[in-house]
Amino acid sequence: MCRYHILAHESLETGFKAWSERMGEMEWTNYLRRVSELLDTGEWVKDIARAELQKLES
Amino acid sequence: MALQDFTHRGEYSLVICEKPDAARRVADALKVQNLESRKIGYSEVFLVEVGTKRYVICSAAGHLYTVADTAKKRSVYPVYDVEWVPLHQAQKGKHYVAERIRVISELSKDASGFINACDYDIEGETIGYNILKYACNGKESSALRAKFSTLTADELRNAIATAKAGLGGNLAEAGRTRHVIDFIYGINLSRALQQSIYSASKGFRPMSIGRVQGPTLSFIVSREVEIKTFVPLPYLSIDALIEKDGQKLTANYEEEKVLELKLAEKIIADCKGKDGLVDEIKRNRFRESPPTPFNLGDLQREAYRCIGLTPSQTLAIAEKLYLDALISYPRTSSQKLPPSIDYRKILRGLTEISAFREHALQTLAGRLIPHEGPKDDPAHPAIFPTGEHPKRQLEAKEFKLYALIVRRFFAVFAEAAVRERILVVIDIAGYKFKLNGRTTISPGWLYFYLDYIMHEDRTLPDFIEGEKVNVLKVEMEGKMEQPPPRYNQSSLLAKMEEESIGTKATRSEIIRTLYDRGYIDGSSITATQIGFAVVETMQAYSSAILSVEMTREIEGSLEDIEAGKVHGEQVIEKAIAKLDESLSLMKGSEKEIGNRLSSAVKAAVAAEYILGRCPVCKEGKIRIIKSKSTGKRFAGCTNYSNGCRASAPLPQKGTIKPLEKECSVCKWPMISARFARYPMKFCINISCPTKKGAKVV
Repeated sequence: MCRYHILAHESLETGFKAWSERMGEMEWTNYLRRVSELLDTGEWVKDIARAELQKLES
Repeated sequence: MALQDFTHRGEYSLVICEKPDAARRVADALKVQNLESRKIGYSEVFLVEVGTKRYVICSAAGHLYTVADTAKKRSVYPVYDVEWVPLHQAQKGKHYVAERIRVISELSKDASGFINACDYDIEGETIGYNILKYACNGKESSALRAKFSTLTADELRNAIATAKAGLGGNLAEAGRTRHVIDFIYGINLSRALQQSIYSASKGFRPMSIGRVQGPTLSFIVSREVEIKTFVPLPYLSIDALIEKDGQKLTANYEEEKVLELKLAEKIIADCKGKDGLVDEIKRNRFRESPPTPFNLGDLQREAYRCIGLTPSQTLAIAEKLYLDALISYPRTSSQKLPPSIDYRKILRGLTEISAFREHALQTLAGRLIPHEGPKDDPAHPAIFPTGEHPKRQLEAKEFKLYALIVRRFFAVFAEAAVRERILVVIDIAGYKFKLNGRTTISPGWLYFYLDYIMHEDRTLPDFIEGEKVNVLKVEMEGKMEQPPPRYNQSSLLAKMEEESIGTKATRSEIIRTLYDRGYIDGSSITATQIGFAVVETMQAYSSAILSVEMTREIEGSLEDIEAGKVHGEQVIEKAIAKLDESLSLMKGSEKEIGNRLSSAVKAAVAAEYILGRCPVCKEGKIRIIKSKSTGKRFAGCTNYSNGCRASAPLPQKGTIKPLEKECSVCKWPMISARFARYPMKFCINISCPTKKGAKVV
């Protein structure tokens, strides 16, 4: 992973904590799906979210 | 030669102007009895007799001299030995410079006095100084300096009559030092990047980076990283729809963002079926001060916001308006308008222009005290209209910018606007909801500046404290936090100003260079792959070049030269010492740097040709291909060697850019093609069922 994708990964993990606090407990997969579909989610975050989803699905 | 006709008639002073238009204006202004002119190639020279005095007026065409390296070996770096040379010796296509220098040099031989009448700022001082030093054979110290802020006849006559020696202070030394430092940084860093690419790939690509380009590009890259690593966080907004006197109004819950879903749901549940009660009514009358006069940065931002002109367009148009004597000198930092510019005379002049007559008359009837800003510039006041009538038909963009400057001028003399904010707090089940109203009591300056502001009143019906309010519904809406916005040319310029990098005159040029080098793209600015690669390389090998502190420190030293606290040589020496550290590091890592940059360049070039995914084989990519036999371009699949024959014709003229999206019907890539002014956006598949001609956007 390049350093920008490492940053994106960190951002995705921090985001999960904030999402859970705000919206109530949620599944990691569900979070990844929602985040990867949002228009304003950063391109590199989407890359990581999709890769994580692929990993979980396979 | 024809000039001898002028020079052999008796004693004369040689007046040196920065541009041909300015020379003509000076000549027209001084003309009392006689004005003659001679055209020698590109140069026009004027002879004016004022009583017993005679002036010969000539002009440069911007800088006639530039800094060059003495060794003149393009691939060698570091280079610290530099000299000032005539521009045509260092740059191609500047043959007209040789002739201008020859004319000025010839005129200087018999001149009994010299007047530097270039624009009164650091660049003008440098232009005049170099001409006096090199073309006039060492007259830089004895020449007089004419100081003016507009090219109106009165001011020019006065400036020539009161020209004094030493008026420019140390501006020329500061200007010349800036040129030397910028040249040394630019040439060495650019050569370091280019040599690195060459040593890695034996290829050539024009690359550049400098002490202002570096931090500016770095701002854009950092913002891009923020945007691309952004995770939107959810929040909720809660609104109550209420009814009053048959009017439906939306009141917002006092907390703009409710962060927890559970809390939002509880509020909605608690409010269900409840009436509201007017808890509090607050009226707040406030004064909205007029805007301050324009300096260049303010004008560039406002022109971008109101007229859509880029900062470099604004500067170019403003300079034209200045040369037409319609506005004062635009390269100023000042937000002040001293009474010496004669407000009344300007306004009286503007009453003669029908578009401004009414506003000018009203301004004349008021108190003529401008609402000034804190910024000052010792050389020039803020930008103001001169009140002169345009002598030619202004182009649409020119008139728009001129009108903006004129209306701003009216607005700064106007009274403050008086407005009233009304806040009605409605209690629903113990939760506070707010209704906001806003009315204008007295428009003041808004009246003059209405075309350029978003100004909307929101009148509320009359509420009484303790009054019961019918609540129709309370609802929540899920929203997402937004990533920081990308810079546009205006906000980037503001950032450069805020960080004190570059000068008012060079900032827009720096932004232009970043576009030209392919480091940035789009009106909502994104950093390209090459832009990223340059920043990453500099971060790894020469992070100081990207730092705002280093360039700010140099700017500070240049100001110290202006103030006479330090000499140019000392500042140059210090700057070289800093640069040398970076260059040594880069020199030792040319291959690594080259590999990094070359792969970014290759990827960027390849990306320019890729239009999107192949809708036929779904494995390859549709890319632009140039036919070897016909030389024509078309789109074809990269999977051709595996049998995919997907192809489509492309327009043979204009620039093609992938839109990075598919046609919603046939799934072929969409492109944008620019032939003339407007880009056309369309799907490249000629058999697309929806195709009925391209859509103009």
